Amino acid sequence: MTQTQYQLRTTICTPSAHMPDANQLALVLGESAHDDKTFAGLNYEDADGNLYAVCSTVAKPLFAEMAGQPLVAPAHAPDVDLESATRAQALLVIEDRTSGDPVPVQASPDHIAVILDTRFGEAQEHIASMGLTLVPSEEEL
Amino acid sequence: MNILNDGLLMGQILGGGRRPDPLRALIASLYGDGQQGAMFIPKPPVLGQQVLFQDSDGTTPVTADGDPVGLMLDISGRGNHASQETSARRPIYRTDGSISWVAGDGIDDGLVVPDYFVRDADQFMSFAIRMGAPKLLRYLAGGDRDSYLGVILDEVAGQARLRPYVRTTSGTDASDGAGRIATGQIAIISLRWTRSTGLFECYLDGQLDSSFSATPADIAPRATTSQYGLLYRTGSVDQPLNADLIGAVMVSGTVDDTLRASAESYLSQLAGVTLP
Repeated sequence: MTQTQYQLRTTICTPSAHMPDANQLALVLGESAHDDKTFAGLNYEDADGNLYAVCSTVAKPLFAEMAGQPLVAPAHAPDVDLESATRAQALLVIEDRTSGDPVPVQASPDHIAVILDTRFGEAQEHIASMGLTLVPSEEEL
Repeated sequence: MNILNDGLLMGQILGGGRRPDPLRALIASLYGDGQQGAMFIPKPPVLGQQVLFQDSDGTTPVTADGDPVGLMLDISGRGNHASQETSARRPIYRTDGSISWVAGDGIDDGLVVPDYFVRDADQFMSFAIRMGAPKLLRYLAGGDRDSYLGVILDEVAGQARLRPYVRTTSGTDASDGAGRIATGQIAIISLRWTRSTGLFECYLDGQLDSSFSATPADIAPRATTSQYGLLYRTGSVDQPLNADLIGAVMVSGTVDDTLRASAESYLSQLAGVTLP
């Protein structure tokens, strides 16, 4: 069996006010024309009750390189709103655990918190590390 | 889309003079009379065909431990493939060399199965999973706003409790199971709805975990969307489960105790465990 190209796991915490921009950024950095649905639900909150949409996914090393460069519309989304995506990009605060000296990041309404880890990183641990807890789910039953 | 050649597959299963292998025999038993449903075994090749793909269009095969899974082909021959269009929501293919699974992170991962449910038929589902970190009200399988039937794994004192439900034209009924599933534990979970009597049963590792009598009625959606979720429930409140999915059998049709035991036995072999 070959080695996966997805050597990273990244967990991204988007404040409610920035979800539309973050979804455009996901469309640029992602791999699918449907990635504008990445941040769909405000399912997490911080200690002050601020709400966040969170995603966690494996990623190729190219993802980390692209996140820090001027954005270009990808082939899968030629009509992406680059202004919106660039606004989200400017809000990224990244805890890079693949580097030697990562600076811890906490969720905040002022920025989009990102943990960049090896592919063996645990999404649940990332969430806790950023100071987030689940918003109690509604029960339909 | 139907990447598998369904006709060929069913022909391989049912025809020929050779003794069928256990998987082909199980598929023939569960679906051979035209039953609707789906079967998922998350290994790259199954029955000689690639069944896992990184993208939902099925263009890039899963070839390595750690690849995302955007499409998992239904090997029942019914063409009810599971997919995920949004790349960040794709679960991950993992293997330890002996067993294989798709890992749901419990944050946003899940796969969508088409609405295969025959409304006036009996229903059966069986899953092999390895439990991750339990949380409140997480869905191993479910439809939007608890459509059809499904099962929640709900945190109780640090372990998971089964909370199966069925939604019919008469309403929704649910029960709480007696057993508990610890983090890291492999479990074989089965649901069975008998349309004619209204009996709903949930089994954990081959033993009855809970049951209830509901009004005999057709199985039903409650929402406008009819898709069905694995490792989460479809809809705006998706409540994903942190768990590894090792195998799944889903049937709109009658599955008696003998056939249920056969399905559970096969899934337990996939998971490398022996049922009591």
